[in-house]
Amino acid sequence: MSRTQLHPDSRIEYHESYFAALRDQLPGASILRKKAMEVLKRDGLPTRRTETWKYTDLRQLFRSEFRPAAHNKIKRDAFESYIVEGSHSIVFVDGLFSASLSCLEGLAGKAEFESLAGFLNGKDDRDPWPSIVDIEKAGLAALNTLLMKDGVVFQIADGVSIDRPIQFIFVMSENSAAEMHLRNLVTVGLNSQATIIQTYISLGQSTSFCNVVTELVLEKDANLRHIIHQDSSDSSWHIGQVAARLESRAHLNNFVLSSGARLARSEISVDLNDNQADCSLKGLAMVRGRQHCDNTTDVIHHKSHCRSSQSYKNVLDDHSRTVFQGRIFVSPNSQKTDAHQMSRNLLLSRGANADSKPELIIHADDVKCSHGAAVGELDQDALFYLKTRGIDGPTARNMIVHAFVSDLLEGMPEDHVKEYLKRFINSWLRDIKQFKEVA
Amino acid sequence: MLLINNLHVSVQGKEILRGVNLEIGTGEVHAIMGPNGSGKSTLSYVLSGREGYDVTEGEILYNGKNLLELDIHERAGEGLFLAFQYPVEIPGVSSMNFLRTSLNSVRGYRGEKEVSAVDFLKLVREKARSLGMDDKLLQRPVNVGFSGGEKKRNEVLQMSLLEPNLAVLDETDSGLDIDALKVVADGVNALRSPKRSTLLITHYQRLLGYIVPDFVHVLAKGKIATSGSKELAVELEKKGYGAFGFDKTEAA
Repeated sequence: MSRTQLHPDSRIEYHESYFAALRDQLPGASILRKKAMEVLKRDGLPTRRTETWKYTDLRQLFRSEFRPAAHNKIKRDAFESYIVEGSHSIVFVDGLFSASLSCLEGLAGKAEFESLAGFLNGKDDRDPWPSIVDIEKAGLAALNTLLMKDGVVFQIADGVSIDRPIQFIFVMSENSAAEMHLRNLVTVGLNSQATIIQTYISLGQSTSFCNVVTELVLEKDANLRHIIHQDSSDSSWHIGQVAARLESRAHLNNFVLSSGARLARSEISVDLNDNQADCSLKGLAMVRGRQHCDNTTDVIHHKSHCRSSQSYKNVLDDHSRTVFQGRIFVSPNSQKTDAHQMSRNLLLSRGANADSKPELIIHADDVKCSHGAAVGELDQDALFYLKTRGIDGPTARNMIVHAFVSDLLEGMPEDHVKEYLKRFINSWLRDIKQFKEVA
Repeated sequence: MLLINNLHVSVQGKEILRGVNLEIGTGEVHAIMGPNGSGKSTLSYVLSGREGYDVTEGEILYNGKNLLELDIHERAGEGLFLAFQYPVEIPGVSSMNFLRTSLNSVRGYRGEKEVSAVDFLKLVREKARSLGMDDKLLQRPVNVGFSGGEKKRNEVLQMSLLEPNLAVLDETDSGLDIDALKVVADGVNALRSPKRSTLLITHYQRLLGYIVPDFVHVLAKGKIATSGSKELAVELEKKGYGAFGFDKTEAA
């Protein structure tokens, strides 16, 4: 252990002073924030000695210094390629909501958008915000709760179907070194359906730290497709946490595409709160250089006849590193659970490293549960075969890598969202450096 | 078409081919027979450019060009085709996408126009039908879930799409029942022309009853031990490799 490690306490003192300035803001979260401060003082910040943080080391992050963002004037065309065609968009720049860059017409009667600040300023101790995130869990959710300033509150009414996707775009401006604690809340009403995309991007290099928590509440029979696309600068930090609660027969389709940040962690925890709730979690991380990407899941089956599936794939080049920690918890009340998990890794370089840790805790006896993990290199026989058919090396390699990732997009409707994801996956594949022949 | 001079090839430091000489003229069909482990497959891999096969001596001229200087895909572009003894399964890559990428890559190399999606579909269906292949097979990933015979038909399908100048067929008869063998042989024979040459690599004479060679060579201990006409194959089959002084199996 390095002696230069910043003691987590000093980081907490720093946060405490930062917090003091925010004390009187967001009255609807004051109880929650007091609790978060207690949790942080008691447990500190996660270190590699923390079980769920064994493979992801935050010391460098905690040593880094951040500064508040300057108000940057940005035009919509600066991030146009990241806008999903035909979508509604809600845009934040360096953590602050930008009304002029957002575009939200035609949602009246179906959904309401507010900034988090507006939402929590309208509440107080007597009407506190019923947050569903477990801030006691080791991680950065307590820190987020303490320091959050803004985010998206998006509430979808009962019985509506929103056809156009809704995109939250979080832009980091060029050379930004801001520390952002964003908090989003999405509720999907009874029997409603929608597609939400969260996009994180940098305009040029950025050394920002983005710590975001998104809460998803799906009422009975709600259906949400939830996409996260994290493509921020490879010198930035990204810690994303999703907490979802699904009521009876609700359905969540989550997909995380990560190719940005020097260190990224994407956590998702899903509470299948009532019978026949169903979630499908998928993730694709594509990393190179010295990037580190961690996908950590926690699916909790509380009631019977719920289904969950997890499928995570990583493509690693150079000296990059990925982590998958997948947890399934089946409570004693959860007979007829159907829960599956799979993690696969494709190493394009001998210097890359993938860790995979499944964890199944099953307290019911009539269940179907499975898990698996695989790590492999490019199939040299397949490459040779393709090349003997006239296909050049880079194209052959891309066909095989593409084949590896393509099944993750199967089952997604053929629409602008899928086009969008394909576009970024293909662009990453095209940037794989010239193929190294294995002698 | 193909001229092999004193070819020596090592695999992981071990010499497998020890001075092979072979000349294949345009329009000719040659068969290379030989006991297991004599170096037959090594020859096919060296021709196609597989990594791990080190040419320590000798040369291969293909239409006057130094074949060994060409990349694997360039050899295909130049009209060389290898039908695999064990075709590779590639999960996730659709057969149609593979065939079309292959055809258009080769056409691109030859300076020809790409085939449109519509024309391609027509072409593939037609060729597949003549080989008795079910269209449904081509909706699967490359070779995935194909039987041994279906894989071999798929090789011949690729060959007929790419229209090579020199086709090397490595043990194409292995794993085929008699009906499949006939279909595959018909497919190969349909491509025979005065402009194309074929090199059949086989352990048994059986295939040579259907694809009749102009010349037969016996490869043993890494060299062409003897050459002759198609009657040589019949004689070998009757008397066995042993009678010719070759071991039935040679440790490579």
